[in-house]
Amino acid sequence: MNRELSYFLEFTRVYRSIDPQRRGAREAACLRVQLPHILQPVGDELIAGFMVHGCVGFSPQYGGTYTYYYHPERVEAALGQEPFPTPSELSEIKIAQGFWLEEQTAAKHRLRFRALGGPEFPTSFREPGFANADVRVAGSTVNLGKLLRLGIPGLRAEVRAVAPVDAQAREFLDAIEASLDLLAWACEWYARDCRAQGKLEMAAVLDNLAGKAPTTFREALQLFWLYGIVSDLMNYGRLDDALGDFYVRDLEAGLLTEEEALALLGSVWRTMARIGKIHDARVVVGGAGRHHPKNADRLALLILETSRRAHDVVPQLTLRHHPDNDPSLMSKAMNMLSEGFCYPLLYSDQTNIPAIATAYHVSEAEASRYVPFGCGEYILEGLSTGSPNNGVNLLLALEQTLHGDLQGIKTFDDLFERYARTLEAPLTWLARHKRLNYDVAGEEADFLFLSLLTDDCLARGRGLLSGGVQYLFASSEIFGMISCADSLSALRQLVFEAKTHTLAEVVGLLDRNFDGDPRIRKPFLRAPKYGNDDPQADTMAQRVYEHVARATIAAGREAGLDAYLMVSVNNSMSAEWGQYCGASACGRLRGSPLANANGASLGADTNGLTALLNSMAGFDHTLHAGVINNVRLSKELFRSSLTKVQAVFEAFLGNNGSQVNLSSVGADDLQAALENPENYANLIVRIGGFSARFVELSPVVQQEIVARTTYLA
Amino acid sequence: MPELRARIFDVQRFSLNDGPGVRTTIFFQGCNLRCAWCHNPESMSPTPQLGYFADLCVHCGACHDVCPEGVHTVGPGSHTLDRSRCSACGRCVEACPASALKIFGREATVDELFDLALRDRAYYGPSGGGVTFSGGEASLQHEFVVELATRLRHEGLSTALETHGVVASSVLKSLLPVIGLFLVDWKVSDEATALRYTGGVPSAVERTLRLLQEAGARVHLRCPIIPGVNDSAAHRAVIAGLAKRFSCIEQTEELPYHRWGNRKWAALGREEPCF
Repeated sequence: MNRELSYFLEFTRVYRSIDPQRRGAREAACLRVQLPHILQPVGDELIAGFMVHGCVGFSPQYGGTYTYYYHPERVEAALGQEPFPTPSELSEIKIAQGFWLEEQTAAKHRLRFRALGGPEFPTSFREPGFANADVRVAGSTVNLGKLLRLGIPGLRAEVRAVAPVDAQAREFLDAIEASLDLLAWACEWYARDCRAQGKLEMAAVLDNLAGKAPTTFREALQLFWLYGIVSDLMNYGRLDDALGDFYVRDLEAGLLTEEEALALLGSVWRTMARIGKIHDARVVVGGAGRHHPKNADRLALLILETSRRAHDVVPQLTLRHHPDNDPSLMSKAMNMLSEGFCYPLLYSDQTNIPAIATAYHVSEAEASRYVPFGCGEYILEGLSTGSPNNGVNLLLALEQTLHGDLQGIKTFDDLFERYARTLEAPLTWLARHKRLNYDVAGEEADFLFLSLLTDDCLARGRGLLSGGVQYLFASSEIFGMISCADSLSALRQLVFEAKTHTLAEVVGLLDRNFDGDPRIRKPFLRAPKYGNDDPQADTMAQRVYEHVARATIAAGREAGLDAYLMVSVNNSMSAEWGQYCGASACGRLRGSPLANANGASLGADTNGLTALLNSMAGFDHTLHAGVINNVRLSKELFRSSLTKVQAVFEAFLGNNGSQVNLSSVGADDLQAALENPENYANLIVRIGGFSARFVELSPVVQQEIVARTTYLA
Repeated sequence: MPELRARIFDVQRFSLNDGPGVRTTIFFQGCNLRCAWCHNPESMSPTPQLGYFADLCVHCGACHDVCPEGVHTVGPGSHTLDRSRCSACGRCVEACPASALKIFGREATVDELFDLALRDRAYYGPSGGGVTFSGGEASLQHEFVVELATRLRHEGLSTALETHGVVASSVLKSLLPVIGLFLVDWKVSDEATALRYTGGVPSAVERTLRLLQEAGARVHLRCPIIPGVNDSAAHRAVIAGLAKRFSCIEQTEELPYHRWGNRKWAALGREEPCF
């Protein structure tokens, strides 16, 4: 039988051979089978580490997908490939297939949620309903500084120095040590692979790492990356802080040149692109709370340059702006953005640190460890975890409200109240679904690699999701917030103030897509719109936001999460989900994209850039775990007024702006790319919470991007 | 005393080309020159006017249906306007589904514009920006400008006035205490050509420069370069001479001619500039 099937059976045998109560030991044993199967040869890279998940396995985060995962279609595919299994092997495979259908963690979650009485949530926006939910573990960014400072032997010593609080802790700590053995084994495996290819310098680096802490930038980068591969890290956090001291030490000792460091980072960047998780792969630089900010700033500049040269969709390079940063970081960032790069994404420490401290009920020192991961959800590096696994479409909730019983709605507040009740109905179950997502995962596995570098797992003697992590956070992804708010603004104006329409008439018009008549649609388009610094429209957006934010917090509290906060970070789903939404009172036609994240309704921001920014800065940031503000300037404007543009965005970030994703793609470029995609293979655009090559996007998403406002001089 | 009201035709926020830094530019309506190349032709008349963008019209007749004066005649593929009957009431603009109609010009109070200007305050300081009074010719409404600028200066905001320079001395003197920077146009150096193309003479602008110089004002000289009119070495030599003679001129700037405003000439029912 072929390699995949042998692995399938071996993994299954080992998994079944260990008492499920001994989850740490089982996980370590499974990883011992899994790692040799999934690690891939070093190839041409300078920094080793790449893997491809198998048909079954343990996934620390959602790279494989949820915890102990199973992909039946891959087993079926392997069955069709030579060498074929013998009849007795085939019979064992059939049994294993049946076993995993029920044993995979996702199936266990499903059963448990049903047993609680939870509703069947759709898992995708293509199914009916305004709320969906799925299972996965995401949102861990660990204490890499500790990994690189202590290395494998130092971490082993630290684990051994912990006095276990009980027998379960003893077993957990033993399993953690086993995970360190596996990390050392991975170093040795790649060292052998490198020697076989004559890459002797790399082999020496990897050999060193198995037995001692890294002392050079190259060793530190290699250890980080290999750890990231075996742990399914996916989002990498503050690399300037973790690696800055190594970089500056080597540079000053003459052991390394900038160009050599660029080549090493470039190798890691290439592998990130090869992994292809374009919604993840965050690398964060700058900001408060780093250990040696000067060294970190020097490396941060080099990291920016690495991304400039790589010019790819990952990593999602993020700059935390803080007045104490080296000013050349912001200048370099602005230059890159003016050249047409989508990176770095800019975050405001001044706005975010105090807001996150309040939102998560943590100290400002802890809040300064915030990093956005994925599409922009916050976690605290090495302190928390925070999966975002559910979507809530506010515009669809309003649509459902308008198609319910309209009797008794006399005032706008009556209407808002109905909408609020409709929206709130599923939130508690979404929070419970999320809590169960953690609980079931925590019953199944200790998440050894992540627990190793996350407070307080070692001291508590518990795995990440089994009582180990200090803060158990989660988030709920909100879609259509601004489309919903602008629709409510229009309804208030036309139905309850000017009284030019009745509510029933509006519902009829929306159902008939405004009868295809622009005259009928016009008053809806002319109603106040968020994004113009219009107090009426912005207050409505804030009301809609605060309602869903507070309702989400309340639902999370009820479900026993340390914090369950909404995010408005929207990936391409704001355009795709729009296809399943009827016409809306904001003037949006049936099937058109929703406004993306905290951006304005498409084309509705007509009052100038500062007006848009004032609208975006109007939200109370203590109630969410991440928002996205996309702003597009014309290349000409950006280039000709670089210092003014920089001053505007620094002012925004210093005045309650949370973050901004700036880009400077020319509108003509986008149209030309639609017509001649072959000439625009490298045109990278910002969607919402991630970037992508424009020509690789679906037509509906492409059209939405073309329609966004571009600010001219 | 009745509340002062200005006639304006636009307020542009995040304005990057009307003085230093990021600015809010208020465009006042009414101008006493008639420059052939004007890119804001809607600014000339001191009263509101109806603009009609023929390329956007869908000939639906909605404007005809709501117009009490019978301004619009709409047929299949045709739309003519009798502007002499138009009172600029704006009903047709509200009704037009295609955004083909627009009223240029409205009244504004000092309070309204003061509040609006302050909304972008966070962006002025770091960029060295502020508020610019432009037009049209803002100095024609100098009482309003003085009152608004006084309040803005009390708030510590920078103020600038964009002017063609053909301004009475008394008016200029009233503006001096509240305007931090004068953006003075130098359009044409030769008297006869200037009269022909603008209706104003350079000697009047020079008088303004002299007054500004004596008062110790800060000046930026802005020079539109119009092919076939003033795109000459002689004109540039005059500009260089002015910059030398008047130490109040901190910088001179050539503004290339563009045809972006031509669409608006047509929308106002006037011949597009041709020279």
